[in-house]
Amino acid sequence: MQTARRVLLACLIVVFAGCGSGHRIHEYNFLALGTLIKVSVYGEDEEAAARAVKLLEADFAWLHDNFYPTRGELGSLNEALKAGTSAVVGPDLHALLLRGQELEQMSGGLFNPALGELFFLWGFVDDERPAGLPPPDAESVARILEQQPSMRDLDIGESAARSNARLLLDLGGYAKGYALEVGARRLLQAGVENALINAGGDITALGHAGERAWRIGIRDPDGPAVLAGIEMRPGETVVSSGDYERFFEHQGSRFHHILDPRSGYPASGTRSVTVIHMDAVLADAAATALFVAGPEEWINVASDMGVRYVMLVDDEHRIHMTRAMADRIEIIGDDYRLEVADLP
Amino acid sequence: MKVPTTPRDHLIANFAALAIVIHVAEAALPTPLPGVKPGLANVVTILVLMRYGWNTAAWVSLLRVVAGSLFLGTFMSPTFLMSVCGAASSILVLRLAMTVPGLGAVGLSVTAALAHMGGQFALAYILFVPHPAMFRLLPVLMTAALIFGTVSGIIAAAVYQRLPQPISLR
Amino acid sequence: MKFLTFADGIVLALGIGFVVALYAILWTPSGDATAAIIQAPGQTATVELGGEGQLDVDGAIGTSTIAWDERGIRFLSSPCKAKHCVHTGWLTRAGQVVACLPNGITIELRNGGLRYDAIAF
Repeated sequence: MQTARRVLLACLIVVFAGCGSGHRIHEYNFLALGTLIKVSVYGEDEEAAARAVKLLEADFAWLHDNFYPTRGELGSLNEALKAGTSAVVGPDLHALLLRGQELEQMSGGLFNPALGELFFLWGFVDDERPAGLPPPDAESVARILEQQPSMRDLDIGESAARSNARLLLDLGGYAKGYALEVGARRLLQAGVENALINAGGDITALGHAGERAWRIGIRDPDGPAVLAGIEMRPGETVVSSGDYERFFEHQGSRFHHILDPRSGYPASGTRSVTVIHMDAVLADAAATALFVAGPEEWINVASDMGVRYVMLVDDEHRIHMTRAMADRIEIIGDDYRLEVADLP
Repeated sequence: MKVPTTPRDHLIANFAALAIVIHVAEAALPTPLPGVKPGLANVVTILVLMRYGWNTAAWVSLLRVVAGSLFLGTFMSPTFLMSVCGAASSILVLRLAMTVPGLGAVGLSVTAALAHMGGQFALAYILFVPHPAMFRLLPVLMTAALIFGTVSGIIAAAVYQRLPQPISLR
Repeated sequence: MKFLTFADGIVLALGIGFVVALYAILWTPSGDATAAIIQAPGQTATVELGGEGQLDVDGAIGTSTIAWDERGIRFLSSPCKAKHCVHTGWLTRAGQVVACLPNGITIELRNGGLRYDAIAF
């Protein structure tokens, strides 16, 4: 009798203890890097959180002003390269360029920030594409690809210079990853240990959301619904690349912004790729490279780049995943065929 | 060979038989949805609970479900599993409900009916139809359980008043 | 009704409350979304769904108009060039998100306790 009453009471306490959480997440948002940046901080100290986010905002504003191909530090560098000369690069840009070289190599050239001229031709350089610009003609594309511009043709020291007349830099493929890295470092420095930085859909998780992990929903390429859910481990970044993020339509065809360096045209066969890794820059670059690799080759490229958690949605309603990803992700969308692959 | 029986065994057997008869008769009724039955056999369970305690009621319940399914030919079928799950949930919850002072036949019956339906639903959802659409059905099922539980309770209360002294089980 | 004790009455009332709550929770219209969170640079607005309405939201490049009714919520108009946000159409289920990136405005449907802290898109 006594035990029964105690059990009942315990159950009631447990039920009511579950309520009341979730009041201590403070949300901030601002525009930068062509998108809405949302920072969610979990903690009691609202003022400290606000201060930390203000610092992060300043960092992002600097990146926004300097890491676009046509302005700031990167803009100056591209101008200099075009003129055949060199330009001094600051420490952030220097580091990012070196990593760009490394990432191009790891991805077998599928990720290539040296194709700035190609991106410019397609109009995908600035935040908004010039209205009515048609897709480039085959000749212009061929002219660039002929020269095979690569990060290897960039000489990076205190200053940078190029040895390829068609090389121009566009860091769009990994700039958001870098911003997330910078943002995470800034928050931790400022004493914020539990936060979520959402840079237009690329998200870094710091710590936890109180008693539970930060939960992220992955968007379904077909529409605004959630395709899958995942719990983030502290320090992880999830990056999703999709053909629905930036695109334009011309005479009935759709052209999206993830170009295949081999053809010079938008990569086909893939609708979206999701990568999770502790290294935000790697995750960002890998998401791009794997999108280009497509439903046949992705597993090999994933292995080459050292990413374990990958999900690729192809254009035939199949979801391809690494085994590690399949074990931790919760698929919610119900009209997909699932295929699990093992990293070689 | 004769298995020695006690008066208590006879009591349980008689009540179980009564419950089984009601259960089998009810099975003949058409149901709008699977699992929605008046559950009048619960009247017997509640009466036994109130007069002879939980142990006896648990035995009567168990026998009703097993023997009832043997009679209906549903032994070991999905229906049987649902029945067992429902009855088990019901009798376990009754164990707790019994401790509430002042609770009469109606209160016990409603609690038992809701627990019964809850247990059946949980099993059906987990084992047979793990589809979110099932949850659209739940409020309807629970409404039926509430109504039939109340009705059973009133019947049990009415019968209880007219019962003679309980037979001693010592 | 001499068959009903006081405790019985309480149990019955609780039972009725429980069943009513089940209908309220499991049968909510517009596919389980109860509120929409609209975020724009420097401000956030919450819209309780279950009526009809329209809202003008100032963003980075102009004003977007957001409209909702029992079906759901959507961008009615927006100053961006591509209008992907408007073409996405109706959001009807909790967890769905639509964004006008050039104008810096996002709409996210929620159902009380948030299922996801953020959406990767």
